[in-house]
Amino acid sequence: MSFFGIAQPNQGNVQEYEFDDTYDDNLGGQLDESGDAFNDETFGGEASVGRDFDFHGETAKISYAIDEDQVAYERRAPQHAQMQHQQQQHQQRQAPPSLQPMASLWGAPDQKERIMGDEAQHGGQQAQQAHLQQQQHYQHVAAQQGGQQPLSLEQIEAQLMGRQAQAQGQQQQQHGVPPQGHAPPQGHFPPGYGYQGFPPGYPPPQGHPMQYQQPWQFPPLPNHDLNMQMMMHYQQQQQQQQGQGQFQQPQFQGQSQGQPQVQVQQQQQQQQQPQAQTQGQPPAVASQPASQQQAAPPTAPLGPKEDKAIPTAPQGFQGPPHSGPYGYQPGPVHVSPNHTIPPMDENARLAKRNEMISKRKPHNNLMTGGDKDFVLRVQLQQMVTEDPYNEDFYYQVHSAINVRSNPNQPLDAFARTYLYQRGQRGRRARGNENGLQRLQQQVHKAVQFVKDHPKKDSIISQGALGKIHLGSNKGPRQALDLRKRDDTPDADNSTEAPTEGVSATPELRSATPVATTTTTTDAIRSITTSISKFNLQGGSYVSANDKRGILRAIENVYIVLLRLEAAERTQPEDDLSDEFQVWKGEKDALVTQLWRELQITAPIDQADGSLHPFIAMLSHAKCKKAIPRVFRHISAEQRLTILTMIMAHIGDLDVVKNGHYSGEESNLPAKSREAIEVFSQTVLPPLVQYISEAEYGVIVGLLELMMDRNDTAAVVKTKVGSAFVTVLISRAELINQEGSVSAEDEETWNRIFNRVFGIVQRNNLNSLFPPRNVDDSYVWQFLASIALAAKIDHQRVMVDDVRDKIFGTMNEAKALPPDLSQQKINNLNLFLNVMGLNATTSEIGELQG
Amino acid sequence: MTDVDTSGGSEPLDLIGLSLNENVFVKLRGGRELYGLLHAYDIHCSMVLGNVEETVFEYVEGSPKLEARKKKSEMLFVRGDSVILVTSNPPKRP
Repeated sequence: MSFFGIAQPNQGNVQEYEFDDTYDDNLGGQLDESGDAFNDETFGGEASVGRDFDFHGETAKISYAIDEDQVAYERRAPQHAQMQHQQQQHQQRQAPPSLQPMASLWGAPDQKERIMGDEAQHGGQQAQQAHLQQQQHYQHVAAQQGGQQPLSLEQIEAQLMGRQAQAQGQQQQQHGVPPQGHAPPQGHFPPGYGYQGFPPGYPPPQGHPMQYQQPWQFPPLPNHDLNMQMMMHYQQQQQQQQGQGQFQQPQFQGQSQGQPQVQVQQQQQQQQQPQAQTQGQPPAVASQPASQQQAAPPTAPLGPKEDKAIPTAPQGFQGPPHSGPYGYQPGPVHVSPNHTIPPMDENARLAKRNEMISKRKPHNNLMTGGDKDFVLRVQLQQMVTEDPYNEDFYYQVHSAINVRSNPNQPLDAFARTYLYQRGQRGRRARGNENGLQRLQQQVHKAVQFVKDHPKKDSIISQGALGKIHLGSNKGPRQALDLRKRDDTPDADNSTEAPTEGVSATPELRSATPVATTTTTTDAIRSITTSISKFNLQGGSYVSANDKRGILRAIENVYIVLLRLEAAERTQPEDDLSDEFQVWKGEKDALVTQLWRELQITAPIDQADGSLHPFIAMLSHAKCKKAIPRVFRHISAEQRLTILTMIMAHIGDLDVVKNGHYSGEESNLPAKSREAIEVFSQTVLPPLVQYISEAEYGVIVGLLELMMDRNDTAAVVKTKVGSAFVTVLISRAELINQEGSVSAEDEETWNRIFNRVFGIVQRNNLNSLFPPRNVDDSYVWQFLASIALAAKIDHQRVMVDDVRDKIFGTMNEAKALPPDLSQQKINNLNLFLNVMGLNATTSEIGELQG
Repeated sequence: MTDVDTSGGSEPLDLIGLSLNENVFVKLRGGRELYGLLHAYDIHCSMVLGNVEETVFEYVEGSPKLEARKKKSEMLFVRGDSVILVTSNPPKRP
């Protein structure tokens, strides 16, 4: 047998060694033995060491709190697991006083003797108590009374003998215990484990006293004898493997007599004990190392209290369990058939279901409703804003889009979701319909709170050297504190005023063209000249060569645009109030500023021959996208100015310049195609809208201006260019057909149109068409508009020119699937219908009806 | 504008602002380069790019040059701490 893994030398064979004998070299003799007199003073041999090192003891003091935590954590654990753990928990509860290592295990012999003496004193007392008290209770008391001192073997014997006598008398009673009193887990823990109430993963120190073995774990269960015996055997093995004597051997009244092998093992284990184990000792007596353990009487006599305890045990199991090492013990925990087939009553099913849920969603119920409310409040508080369009722009846009794309989705879906849940939790069943209202109230409260408690942006704590800067989601903590030079467009007004004489009165600039705009061709001329003249007076504009300056200008346009749009939202309702006047003044100033940022008023011809800045800006997609938004704010005259500027420079527009098909390529580069697409979708619509309402003179003037300043032949070969011309001619023809045109105007128009037609026709109409695989509908539209305005002989010339194209298109359409073919024919008919013709895939005939 | 000379902005990051909705070339740590439409950026140079072409340069054993691998992404978020360089002009490569 071994103790702590060290072979025990036979007492009789102990050799005596002389110290010097153990060294061959006699070095021991050379040790300087003098000068040790003051060692104690030097090294503080007598001083109290203190208990700072006693981590385990310290932990033990708070182990109850730890238990509570674990209990809370385990609350959702399956019920049967709780059963297993219940006794564990009991031990834990009682553990604190016991967790201190017993000095006697390690202590010097004199300590041991003292303990023995104490035991002698307490022995009888304890034995008597054992008769009276429930076992675990008894142990607890015993632990307190006896300090942490183990009982002597004699003491234990005395207890056990006494209890045995008592228990025998009570055996009938025990058998009468209700079935659940024999609840499975109780009897199935090896005693060596029964006490491992340490925090998980904390191995029980060797030799630790096992004071709290719970006797009721081993109720005499006659019908479980077999189980018990198996278990006993297992325990023995365990103990041997552990090489520890720290176990309590449970014995049962009903079965212990038939377990001689247990006895033998016990006795072997106890050979090291000072108190010799008596052979033939009554089997009921737990033989156990007196120096290590307090006896927990294994005979499990069930006192009156025990009777009470056992029936209630199942209920107790539902209490807070403790996840001790038990959960992980491969030991004979599950031997009992009773255990493996738990009663499937309602509770168990419920427990099983809870277990499933907790397995699948382990973090369920981690937060209480109050917690969630609190978090929500914090979040709301951060999000709250009085100007959601500026500070929560993306969400506003997102929700606007969402509503548009999914009209069924109610706006307050979030609120509903959240409040519905709350309603379910239902403090007061207020109904869900006013949930939104409640959320609004909450938001309102949060807003109020934020207003009342403005956040400080820095803290200066006393005695600190610096400040602590705080950030919020709207004003993040500044990483760099740069000197911010306010160069926003707003500020430009004031700062640039002295240097830029004209721009100080920006109203003049837009006013000038307005004043000179009439509805005649001369009006356009005067616009252009006035712009030119006006700009010659001074003012600085971005050069088209300054790429960054152009980008900056676009940014400024956007900044002003955003302010304008924000201003629109804050429009006072009362048109007559002073407030409205102030607002109107601000808005007008912004429009003026926007106008200036557009660079539209720069000289129509740049001195250095570079592109007009506005046209240069328009080559950027983002400026194209800004145009429709700009158009909403500016006046009709300003729109005309923009249109005039574009028509004057149409050849310089990126979409026109890069819109030509070179002979070899079957399509335009992706970039150009994209630019044209954007232009058609953003810039064209507002301009077309304007043209479609424009006066005769404006149309004529614009066409003339375009032809004067651009290579018309090149312009009409592009999609955008031809689109402009198409719209202009269509509008003019429409006015013509209304018949309210003066003869003078009509003559002008005829002159202009003949010029257009001449240019277009001279350059071979076929050259207008894009490569075969590109949609050519815009060409047919263009031709249709010209044909519409043209005289009959002009039409004949046109048809002759494009005859090949017409038949080519018809042949192509024949080979295509019906829908595509129909589309081709429709495009073709745009042109043919104007002349009273109609085409099908096979023939051309008179237009019916 | 009068102060175009000051590179169109008072803060370095304003330069990036100029490239909003423009194609930018972004050089990243780890031998990566991006070319795409700048949708958004922040003070950390974190960026949201659209229609991005990403080029990853890798050293391949035995090859005298770095191997360039390209991939396209519709939308990309770039964490600012990996950004080395942002420009509107992609360098010409042979």
